[in-house]
Amino acid sequence: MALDEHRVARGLRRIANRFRPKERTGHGQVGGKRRPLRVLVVGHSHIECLRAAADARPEPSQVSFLNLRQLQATVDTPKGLPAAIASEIARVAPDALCLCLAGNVHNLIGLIENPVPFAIGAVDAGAIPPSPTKRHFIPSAMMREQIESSMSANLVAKIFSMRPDSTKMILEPPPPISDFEHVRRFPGAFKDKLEMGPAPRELRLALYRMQSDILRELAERETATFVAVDPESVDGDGFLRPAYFSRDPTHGNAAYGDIMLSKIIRLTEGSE
Amino acid sequence: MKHPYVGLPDRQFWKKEPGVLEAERLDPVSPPPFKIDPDDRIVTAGSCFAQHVARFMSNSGFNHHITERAHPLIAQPIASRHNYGMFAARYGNIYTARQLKQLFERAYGTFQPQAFSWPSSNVAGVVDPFRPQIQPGGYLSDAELEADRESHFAAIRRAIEEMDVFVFTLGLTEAWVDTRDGAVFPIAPGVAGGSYDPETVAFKNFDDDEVYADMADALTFLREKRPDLRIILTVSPVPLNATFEDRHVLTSTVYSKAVLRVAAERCTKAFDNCVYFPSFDIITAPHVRGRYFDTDCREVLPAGVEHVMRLFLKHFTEGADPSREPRPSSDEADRVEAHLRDMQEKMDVLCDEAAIDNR
Repeated sequence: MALDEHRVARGLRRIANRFRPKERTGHGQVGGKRRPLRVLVVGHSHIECLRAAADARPEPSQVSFLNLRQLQATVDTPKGLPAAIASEIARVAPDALCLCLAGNVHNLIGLIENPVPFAIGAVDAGAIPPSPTKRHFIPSAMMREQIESSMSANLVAKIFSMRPDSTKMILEPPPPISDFEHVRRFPGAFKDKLEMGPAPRELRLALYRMQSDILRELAERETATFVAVDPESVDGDGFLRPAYFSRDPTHGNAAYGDIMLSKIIRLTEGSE
Repeated sequence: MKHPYVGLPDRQFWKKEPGVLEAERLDPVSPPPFKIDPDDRIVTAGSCFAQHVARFMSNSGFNHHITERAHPLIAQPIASRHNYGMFAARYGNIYTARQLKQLFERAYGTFQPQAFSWPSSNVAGVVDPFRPQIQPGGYLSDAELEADRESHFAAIRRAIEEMDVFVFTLGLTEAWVDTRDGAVFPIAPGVAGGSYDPETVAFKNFDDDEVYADMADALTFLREKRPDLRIILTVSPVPLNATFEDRHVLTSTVYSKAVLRVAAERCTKAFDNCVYFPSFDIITAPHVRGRYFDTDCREVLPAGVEHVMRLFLKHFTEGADPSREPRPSSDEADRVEAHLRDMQEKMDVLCDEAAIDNR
C-alpha cells in the first residue's frame, strides 16, 4: 500500500505541535548568538517518563520527543515509519539523538511466569534459577539471540544515519520492578495475567541485564554513548527503587525520567 | 535346463531392474519385515545424511519423536540455528558406532569422560567436546554447559525409553579418541574448539569387527529398554571430507563405507526386526550415473534425497502419501504462543497508556 503523504504530514504536524520545545535556550551558534543544543529522544514507551519530567520543569525545554508507537499510527504501513521519522528529524534538526527502542522486551518475556517455566544459562550458577531439569533450560546464547532479534538494531542504525553528525546516545531502559504487590495494585492490562504469578526475581534481573548488554554493544557498534541507569534509581539487588515506580508494572515515573533527562542533557552539553 | 536361479524374483537380476533404463525407477529395497504407523515414535541419529532423513521425517507427517525442543518462546529460525528439532535431542551428528554407544552410556551415567569442555575457538567460553558445533556462541562456562548437558541427557533418556523405531545412519570409521579413557570425539580437537594434543588424543580407524561390536552393544542396550523396538540401519552416501590415513580420500571413503555396510549387514542378521535400508546403494548406484551428487562430488542433491525417501515411504508405510503434512505443533507450544501474543497485546496497551499518563 502506498504511503498517504497527506495523512503522514497531518500526523506529523499534530505530533510536532504537541511536543515542540517550548522555547530554546542553549549553546549552539545562530547568527553569532548562542542557540540551544537540541535533543530529540526517539523511542517507545520508556521515553514517556522523560517527557513527563521535561514538561514538569519550569524552564523551557530543549528536548523533543518522538514516540514511535504514536508515529506508527499515522502511517499506513510499517515501511512508512522510517520516512516519517526522517521527516521529523529534519524538522527538529537535533544536535543530539537519544534512542530508547523496545525497552520492554525483558518484561514481555519475564514479567509474568511463562506457562512453561524456564531457566536461562548463567556463568557461575549454571542456570538462573537453578535446577534446570525442573524448568525448561534455555542456553544463554540462544536467549540472547532471541532478545536481540526484538531490539530493532536495524532501525536504530537507520535513525542514527538520518542525522550522522549528531551526538548519538542509546538509553538504558529502567530496571524491572521487583515488587509484585505493586504490579497487583497497578496491573493495567495485565490484570488477567496476575494469577500466573511473577517470574522468579533472579530470572527477571538476568533477562534485563542481558537486554542491557545487547544495548551496550549496539551503542558501541553505532559509536553512540550508552546512557546507563543512574545508580541512585536502583536498589541493592539491581531492581528499580520504589520511589521511581510509575503507576503500572514496568515503567519509571517522572522523577526517574528527571534523573535520566538530566544525564542526557549533560551528555549533550559535554559536561558528562 | 534347471539351475538354482530359475524362479527367483526379478529384483535379483541386474538386467531386470527397471532403473537400468530409467534411473528414477531404481528400487533396490527388499520387503521389510515391519511397517511404520503414523503414530509410531521415530528417533533418528547418525552422520550428515541422517539430517536429510530427519528433515523428511519431520516434514512428511511421521511422528519424528523430538524430546529436546527449544522453549516455545524462542522463534523457530533461532531454535533451528541452535540445532533444536533436527534430531530427537541436541546430540548433533553421530559419525561412528563407538560415538553412538558412548552417547547412551553418558546419558545413563555409566561413562563419564575426562574431557568435560573445550575452550571455544571463536568466542569466549567453552564448547561441548562431544557436540562442539551444537551451540552457536558456545557456553558461558563449564557450569552452563553442565546445566544444558543435564537437560540434554534427560531428553536422550526419554527418547530411548519412548521410541518405537530407531533409524541410524552410519557415517564414518575414522575418529579421534581420548587416550586417557577411550572417549570418542565427533570432530578432531582444534577444528571447532579445543586444541590438538597428540599426548591425549589419538587417531583411530575402526574395522568391521569393532564397528559391529559397538553397534551390537548399542542396539542391545536399546532393546533392553525397548524390547519391541524396530531398527532401520542405513549407510551415509556422503564421501569423507578428509582422511587422516596416508592415502587418497576416495580410497579411505570406499574402505569406510565398506566396513559400515558390512557391520550393518551383520546387525541385520544378529537382531530381529533390524533392517538395512539402501540409501547408500541408491545414491551411488551406476543407474543414476552420479547425477545425485552435487558439483563437488560429495553433497547429495535434493533429487537423490527425494528418491531415497520416496522408497522409504513406499516400503515402510501403508498407503504412502508423499504429500502428508508436518504434524501440528504441541499443546505446550500453542499455550506459550498464546501467552506471548497476549503479553505483547497487553504490553502494547500498557505502552500506549504510558504515553497518556505517566505522572
